[in-house]
Amino acid sequence: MKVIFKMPFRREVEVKGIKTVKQLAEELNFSLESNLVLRDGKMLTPDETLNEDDVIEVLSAISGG
Amino acid sequence: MRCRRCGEKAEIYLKRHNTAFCNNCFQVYYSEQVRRNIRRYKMFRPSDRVLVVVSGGKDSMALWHILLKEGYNVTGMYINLGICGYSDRSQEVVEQFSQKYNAPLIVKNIEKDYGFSIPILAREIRRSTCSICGTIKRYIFNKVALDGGFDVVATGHNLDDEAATLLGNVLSWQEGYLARQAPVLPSTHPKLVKKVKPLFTLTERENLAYIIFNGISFIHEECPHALGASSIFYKEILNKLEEESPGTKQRFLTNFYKKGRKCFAKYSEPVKLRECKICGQVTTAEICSFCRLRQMAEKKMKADSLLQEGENH
Repeated sequence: MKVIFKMPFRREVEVKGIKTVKQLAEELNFSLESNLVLRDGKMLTPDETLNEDDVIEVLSAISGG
Repeated sequence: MRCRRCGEKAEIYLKRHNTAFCNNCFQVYYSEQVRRNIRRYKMFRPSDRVLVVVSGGKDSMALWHILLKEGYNVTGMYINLGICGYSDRSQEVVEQFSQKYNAPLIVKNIEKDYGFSIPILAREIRRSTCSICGTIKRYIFNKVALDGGFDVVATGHNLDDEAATLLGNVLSWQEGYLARQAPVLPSTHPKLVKKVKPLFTLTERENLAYIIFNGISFIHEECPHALGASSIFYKEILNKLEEESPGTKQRFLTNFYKKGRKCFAKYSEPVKLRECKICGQVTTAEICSFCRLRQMAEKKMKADSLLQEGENH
Protein backbone atom coordinates (compact mmCIF):
# COMPACT_ATOMS: atom_id res chain seq x y z
CA MET A 1 0.00 0.00 0.00
CA LYS A 2 0.99 3.59 -0.50
CA VAL A 3 1.20 5.71 2.67
CA ILE A 4 1.30 9.48 2.22
CA PHE A 5 2.43 11.72 5.08
CA LYS A 6 1.14 15.24 4.50
CA MET A 7 2.90 17.33 7.15
CA PRO A 8 5.28 18.91 7.97
CA PHE A 9 6.78 17.67 4.67
CA ARG A 10 5.09 15.50 2.08
CA ARG A 11 6.55 12.02 2.05
CA GLU A 12 5.39 8.77 0.46
CA VAL A 13 6.20 5.29 1.71
CA GLU A 14 5.41 1.92 0.14
CA VAL A 15 4.39 -0.76 2.69
CA LYS A 16 3.94 -4.47 1.99
CA GLY A 17 1.30 -6.77 3.45
CA ILE A 18 -2.12 -6.57 5.03
CA LYS A 19 -2.18 -4.91 8.44
CA THR A 20 -4.25 -2.86 10.85
CA VAL A 21 -3.91 0.91 11.32
CA LYS A 22 -2.30 0.24 14.72
CA GLN A 23 0.27 -2.12 13.18
CA LEU A 24 1.02 0.41 10.42
CA ALA A 25 1.61 3.16 13.01
CA GLU A 26 3.99 0.87 14.92
CA GLU A 27 5.83 -0.17 11.76
CA LEU A 28 6.27 3.40 10.49
CA ASN A 29 6.79 4.79 13.99
CA PHE A 30 4.13 7.48 14.04
CA SER A 31 1.83 8.32 16.92
CA LEU A 32 -1.91 7.76 16.69
CA GLU A 33 -2.28 10.50 19.31
CA SER A 34 -0.65 13.08 17.01
CA ASN A 35 -2.05 11.88 13.67
CA LEU A 36 -5.25 10.90 11.90
CA VAL A 37 -5.21 8.06 9.38
CA LEU A 38 -7.53 8.34 6.36
CA ARG A 39 -8.54 6.16 3.41
CA ASP A 40 -10.58 7.78 0.62
CA GLY A 41 -10.98 10.86 2.83
CA LYS A 42 -12.55 8.83 5.69
CA MET A 43 -10.97 8.47 9.10
CA LEU A 44 -10.02 5.04 10.34
CA THR A 45 -10.00 3.53 13.84
CA PRO A 46 -6.84 1.62 14.97
CA ASP A 47 -8.42 -1.82 14.41
CA GLU A 48 -9.29 -1.15 10.75
CA THR A 49 -7.62 -3.52 8.26
CA LEU A 50 -5.58 -2.00 5.43
CA ASN A 51 -5.08 -3.81 2.14
CA GLU A 52 -2.18 -4.00 -0.32
CA ASP A 53 -3.82 -1.68 -2.88
CA ASP A 54 -4.98 0.99 -0.41
CA VAL A 55 -3.78 4.59 -0.53
CA ILE A 56 -3.51 5.82 3.04
CA GLU A 57 -3.08 9.42 4.18
CA VAL A 58 -1.52 10.31 7.51
CA LEU A 59 -2.42 13.81 8.69
CA SER A 60 -0.44 15.37 11.49
CA ALA A 61 -2.61 17.21 14.00
CA ILE A 62 0.31 18.92 15.74
CA SER A 63 0.90 22.58 15.06
CA GLY A 64 3.10 25.23 16.59
CA GLY A 65 2.19 28.50 18.24
CA MET B 1 -14.96 -0.63 16.33
CA ARG B 2 -18.51 0.43 17.03
CA CYS B 3 -19.76 3.87 18.06
CA ARG B 4 -20.34 3.95 21.80
CA ARG B 5 -23.52 6.04 21.50
CA CYS B 6 -25.38 4.53 18.54
CA GLY B 7 -23.59 1.26 17.73
CA GLU B 8 -22.89 2.23 14.10
CA LYS B 9 -19.44 1.79 12.56
CA ALA B 10 -17.02 4.13 14.35
CA GLU B 11 -14.69 6.52 12.51
CA ILE B 12 -12.65 7.90 15.38
CA TYR B 13 -11.24 6.32 18.53
CA LEU B 14 -10.59 8.53 21.56
CA LYS B 15 -8.18 6.55 23.68
CA ARG B 16 -8.34 8.89 26.68
CA HIS B 17 -12.10 8.29 26.94
CA ASN B 18 -11.80 4.64 25.84
CA THR B 19 -14.54 5.52 23.36
CA ALA B 20 -15.13 5.37 19.63
CA PHE B 21 -17.63 7.53 17.76
CA CYS B 22 -19.26 7.68 14.33
CA ASN B 23 -19.33 11.07 12.57
CA ASN B 24 -22.70 12.19 14.02
CA CYS B 25 -22.02 11.12 17.59
CA PHE B 26 -18.54 12.69 17.53
CA GLN B 27 -20.19 16.00 16.65
CA VAL B 28 -22.55 15.60 19.61
CA TYR B 29 -19.55 14.93 21.89
CA TYR B 30 -17.68 17.93 20.45
CA SER B 31 -20.64 20.32 20.86
CA GLU B 32 -21.23 19.13 24.43
CA GLN B 33 -17.59 19.77 25.35
CA VAL B 34 -17.71 23.32 23.93
CA ARG B 35 -21.09 24.09 25.54
CA ARG B 36 -19.92 22.76 28.90
CA ASN B 37 -16.69 24.81 28.80
CA ILE B 38 -18.57 28.00 27.91
CA ARG B 39 -21.14 27.44 30.66
CA ARG B 40 -18.90 26.07 33.42
CA TYR B 41 -16.28 28.79 33.04
CA LYS B 42 -18.84 31.55 32.36
CA MET B 43 -17.05 32.45 29.13
CA PHE B 44 -19.93 34.31 27.50
CA ARG B 45 -23.73 34.48 27.31
CA PRO B 46 -25.87 33.88 24.21
CA SER B 47 -26.47 37.63 23.88
CA ASP B 48 -22.76 38.56 24.02
CA ARG B 49 -20.87 39.73 20.94
CA VAL B 50 -17.92 37.37 20.43
CA LEU B 51 -14.83 38.20 18.37
CA VAL B 52 -13.14 34.97 17.22
CA VAL B 53 -9.49 35.34 16.26
CA VAL B 54 -8.95 33.15 13.19
CA SER B 55 -5.68 32.16 11.53
CA GLY B 56 -6.99 29.77 8.88
CA GLY B 57 -5.60 26.82 10.87
CA LYS B 58 -7.74 23.89 12.03
CA ASP B 59 -8.31 25.01 15.63
CA SER B 60 -9.57 28.54 15.01
CA MET B 61 -11.63 27.41 11.98
CA ALA B 62 -13.23 24.68 14.11
CA LEU B 63 -14.00 27.23 16.83
CA TRP B 64 -15.52 29.69 14.35
CA HIS B 65 -17.67 26.92 12.86
CA ILE B 66 -18.94 25.47 16.16
CA LEU B 67 -19.80 28.89 17.63
CA LEU B 68 -21.78 29.78 14.50
CA LYS B 69 -23.48 26.38 14.62
CA GLU B 70 -24.38 26.90 18.27
CA GLY B 71 -26.02 30.21 17.32
CA TYR B 72 -23.66 32.63 19.04
CA ASN B 73 -23.25 36.21 17.82
CA VAL B 74 -19.79 35.69 16.31
CA THR B 75 -17.51 37.82 14.13
CA GLY B 76 -14.23 36.42 12.80
CA MET B 77 -11.06 38.48 12.83
CA TYR B 78 -8.07 37.70 10.67
CA ILE B 79 -4.73 39.48 10.90
CA ASN B 80 -2.51 39.32 7.80
CA LEU B 81 0.97 39.34 9.32
CA GLY B 82 2.83 39.67 6.01
CA ILE B 83 4.59 36.30 6.31
CA CYS B 84 5.52 35.55 2.71
CA GLY B 85 2.98 33.36 0.92
CA TYR B 86 1.68 31.77 4.11
CA SER B 87 -0.32 34.85 5.20
CA ASP B 88 -2.01 35.33 1.80
CA ARG B 89 -2.92 31.63 1.54
CA SER B 90 -4.42 31.63 5.04
CA GLN B 91 -6.37 34.86 4.36
CA GLU B 92 -7.92 33.22 1.30
CA VAL B 93 -9.07 30.24 3.40
CA VAL B 94 -10.64 32.56 5.99
CA GLU B 95 -12.39 34.72 3.37
CA GLN B 96 -13.80 31.67 1.60
CA PHE B 97 -15.23 30.39 4.90
CA SER B 98 -16.78 33.79 5.62
CA GLN B 99 -18.50 33.76 2.22
CA LYS B 100 -19.62 30.15 2.40
CA TYR B 101 -21.20 30.48 5.85
CA ASN B 102 -22.23 34.13 5.47
CA ALA B 103 -20.15 34.85 8.57
CA PRO B 104 -19.05 38.42 9.41
CA LEU B 105 -15.29 38.91 9.13
CA ILE B 106 -12.87 41.72 9.96
CA VAL B 107 -9.50 41.62 8.16
CA LYS B 108 -6.47 43.58 9.35
CA ASN B 109 -3.23 43.83 7.42
CA ILE B 110 -0.06 44.81 9.27
CA GLU B 111 1.75 46.17 6.21
CA LYS B 112 -1.23 48.02 4.76
CA ASP B 113 -2.73 49.29 8.02
CA TYR B 114 0.44 50.02 9.99
CA GLY B 115 3.15 50.21 7.35
CA PHE B 116 5.67 47.67 8.56
CA SER B 117 6.63 44.08 7.93
CA ILE B 118 7.06 41.66 10.86
CA PRO B 119 9.84 39.49 9.35
CA ILE B 120 11.89 42.58 8.36
CA LEU B 121 11.32 44.27 11.73
CA ALA B 122 12.33 41.08 13.58
CA ARG B 123 15.59 40.94 11.65
CA GLU B 124 16.35 44.63 12.18
CA ILE B 125 15.77 44.72 15.92
CA ARG B 126 17.07 41.17 16.52
CA ARG B 127 13.94 39.82 18.19
CA SER B 128 12.26 36.53 17.34
CA THR B 129 9.48 36.78 14.77
CA CYS B 130 7.13 34.81 17.05
CA SER B 131 7.54 37.23 19.98
CA ILE B 132 6.87 40.29 17.77
CA CYS B 133 3.96 38.49 16.17
CA GLY B 134 2.47 37.72 19.61
CA THR B 135 2.77 41.35 20.75
CA ILE B 136 1.10 42.62 17.57
CA LYS B 137 -1.71 40.06 17.58
CA ARG B 138 -2.59 40.69 21.25
CA TYR B 139 -2.62 44.45 20.62
CA ILE B 140 -4.77 44.30 17.49
CA PHE B 141 -7.38 41.86 18.70
CA ASN B 142 -7.89 43.85 21.89
CA LYS B 143 -8.13 47.10 19.93
CA VAL B 144 -10.56 45.68 17.37
CA ALA B 145 -12.70 44.14 20.13
CA LEU B 146 -12.74 47.38 22.09
CA ASP B 147 -13.44 49.66 19.13
CA GLY B 148 -16.11 47.29 17.80
CA GLY B 149 -17.92 46.94 21.15
CA PHE B 150 -17.29 43.18 21.51
CA ASP B 151 -17.83 41.59 24.94
CA VAL B 152 -15.23 38.88 24.60
CA VAL B 153 -12.36 37.62 22.43
CA ALA B 154 -12.28 33.85 21.78
CA THR B 155 -9.21 31.96 20.59
CA GLY B 156 -8.79 28.39 19.33
CA HIS B 157 -6.29 27.28 22.01
CA ASN B 158 -6.73 23.54 22.49
CA LEU B 159 -5.79 20.97 25.15
CA ASP B 160 -2.40 20.30 23.52
CA ASP B 161 -1.56 24.02 23.35
CA GLU B 162 -2.48 24.57 26.97
CA ALA B 163 -0.75 21.42 28.27
CA ALA B 164 2.42 22.25 26.27
CA THR B 165 2.42 25.82 27.62
CA LEU B 166 1.97 24.45 31.14
CA LEU B 167 4.83 21.98 30.67
CA GLY B 168 7.10 24.76 29.38
CA ASN B 169 6.21 27.01 32.32
CA VAL B 170 6.74 24.19 34.83
CA LEU B 171 10.11 23.24 33.34
CA SER B 172 11.34 26.79 33.91
CA TRP B 173 9.20 27.43 37.02
CA GLN B 174 7.73 30.59 35.56
CA GLU B 175 5.69 31.52 38.64
CA GLY B 176 4.07 34.60 37.07
CA TYR B 177 2.96 32.73 33.94
CA LEU B 178 1.71 29.80 36.03
CA ALA B 179 -0.39 32.18 38.12
CA ARG B 180 -2.02 33.63 35.00
CA GLN B 181 -2.59 30.57 32.78
CA ALA B 182 -6.35 29.93 32.60
CA PRO B 183 -9.18 29.15 30.15
CA VAL B 184 -10.65 32.58 30.94
CA LEU B 185 -8.57 35.74 31.27
CA PRO B 186 -10.90 38.29 32.83
CA SER B 187 -10.84 41.95 31.92
CA THR B 188 -8.64 43.75 34.46
CA HIS B 189 -9.13 47.23 33.00
CA PRO B 190 -12.09 48.88 31.21
CA LYS B 191 -10.01 48.95 28.01
CA LEU B 192 -8.93 45.28 28.20
CA VAL B 193 -11.42 42.83 26.71
CA LYS B 194 -11.99 39.43 28.38
CA LYS B 195 -10.33 36.48 26.59
CA VAL B 196 -11.60 32.90 26.52
CA LYS B 197 -10.52 29.50 25.17
CA PRO B 198 -13.67 27.38 24.57
CA LEU B 199 -11.69 24.45 23.04
CA PHE B 200 -9.26 23.96 25.93
CA THR B 201 -10.52 20.43 26.72
CA LEU B 202 -10.41 19.24 23.09
CA THR B 203 -7.20 17.87 21.57
CA GLU B 204 -5.67 19.03 18.31
CA ARG B 205 -6.53 15.65 16.86
CA GLU B 206 -10.18 16.13 17.82
CA ASN B 207 -10.22 19.59 16.22
CA LEU B 208 -8.72 18.15 13.04
CA ALA B 209 -11.36 15.40 13.07
CA TYR B 210 -14.11 18.02 13.50
CA ILE B 211 -12.73 19.93 10.50
CA ILE B 212 -12.61 16.77 8.34
CA PHE B 213 -16.08 15.56 9.37
CA ASN B 214 -17.55 18.96 8.46
CA GLY B 215 -15.57 19.43 5.23
CA ILE B 216 -14.16 22.78 6.42
CA SER B 217 -11.21 24.15 4.42
CA PHE B 218 -8.15 25.06 6.47
CA ILE B 219 -4.48 25.80 5.98
CA HIS B 220 -2.59 22.66 6.86
CA GLU B 221 0.88 24.05 6.31
CA GLU B 222 2.71 25.36 9.35
CA CYS B 223 3.78 28.98 9.71
CA PRO B 224 7.42 28.85 8.48
CA HIS B 225 8.54 30.52 11.72
CA ALA B 226 6.90 27.86 13.93
CA LEU B 227 8.93 24.94 12.49
CA GLY B 228 11.17 23.60 15.24
CA ALA B 229 9.29 25.54 17.95
CA SER B 230 9.72 24.12 21.46
CA SER B 231 5.92 23.96 21.83
CA ILE B 232 5.84 21.28 19.08
CA PHE B 233 8.50 19.27 20.91
CA TYR B 234 6.55 19.50 24.20
CA LYS B 235 3.39 18.37 22.43
CA GLU B 236 5.17 15.30 21.05
CA ILE B 237 6.54 14.45 24.50
CA LEU B 238 3.08 14.82 26.05
CA ASN B 239 1.59 12.59 23.35
CA LYS B 240 4.18 9.92 24.17
CA LEU B 241 3.02 10.04 27.80
CA GLU B 242 -0.58 10.01 26.59
CA GLU B 243 -0.03 6.82 24.58
CA GLU B 244 1.37 5.03 27.62
CA SER B 245 -1.16 6.51 30.03
CA PRO B 246 -4.29 7.80 28.31
CA GLY B 247 -5.80 10.90 29.92
CA THR B 248 -2.45 12.27 31.18
CA LYS B 249 -2.65 15.50 29.16
CA GLN B 250 -6.10 16.42 30.40
CA ARG B 251 -5.29 15.44 34.02
CA PHE B 252 -2.10 17.49 33.90
CA LEU B 253 -3.98 20.58 32.76
CA THR B 254 -7.30 20.35 34.59
CA ASN B 255 -5.70 19.30 37.90
CA PHE B 256 -3.36 22.26 37.55
CA TYR B 257 -6.41 24.52 37.25
CA LYS B 258 -8.10 22.81 40.20
CA LYS B 259 -5.14 22.29 42.53
CA GLY B 260 -1.88 23.75 41.24
CA ARG B 261 -2.67 27.23 40.02
CA LYS B 262 -3.74 28.62 43.40
CA CYS B 263 -0.26 27.86 44.80
CA PHE B 264 1.13 30.52 42.45
CA ALA B 265 -1.53 33.17 43.13
CA LYS B 266 0.87 35.33 45.14
CA TYR B 267 3.03 35.75 42.03
CA SER B 268 0.16 37.34 40.18
CA GLU B 269 0.47 40.70 41.86
CA PRO B 270 -1.75 43.34 40.30
CA VAL B 271 0.40 45.56 38.10
CA LYS B 272 -0.34 49.23 37.71
CA LEU B 273 -2.05 49.62 34.36
CA ARG B 274 -2.17 52.89 32.48
CA GLU B 275 -2.92 54.15 29.00
CA CYS B 276 -0.25 54.46 26.31
CA LYS B 277 0.48 58.15 25.70
CA ILE B 278 0.52 57.55 21.93
CA CYS B 279 -2.43 55.25 21.21
CA GLY B 280 -4.37 55.11 24.49
CA GLN B 281 -4.31 51.29 24.73
CA VAL B 282 -3.57 49.67 28.10
CA THR B 283 0.06 49.17 29.07
CA THR B 284 2.31 48.98 32.11
CA ALA B 285 4.81 51.46 30.62
CA GLU B 286 4.51 55.00 29.33
CA ILE B 287 4.41 53.79 25.73
CA CYS B 288 2.90 50.37 24.90
CA SER B 289 5.02 47.65 23.33
CA PHE B 290 3.12 47.92 20.02
CA CYS B 291 3.84 51.65 19.68
CA ARG B 292 7.47 51.02 20.62
CA LEU B 293 7.68 48.48 17.78
CA ARG B 294 6.10 51.00 15.41
CA GLN B 295 8.59 53.66 16.46
CA MET B 296 11.49 51.26 15.81
CA ALA B 297 10.09 50.39 12.38
CA GLU B 298 9.61 54.07 11.49
CA LYS B 299 13.12 54.95 12.68
CA LYS B 300 14.57 52.18 10.54
CA MET B 301 12.57 53.26 7.46
CA LYS B 302 13.70 56.87 7.95
CA ALA B 303 17.35 55.80 8.19
CA ASP B 304 16.97 53.67 5.07
CA SER B 305 15.46 56.52 3.05
CA LEU B 306 18.25 58.92 4.16
CA LEU B 307 20.79 56.32 3.11
CA GLN B 308 19.04 55.94 -0.22
CA GLU B 309 19.02 59.73 -0.74
CA GLY B 310 22.75 59.87 0.07
CA GLU B 311 23.49 57.17 -2.51
CA ASN B 312 21.48 59.00 -5.16
CA HIS B 313 23.41 62.28 -4.68
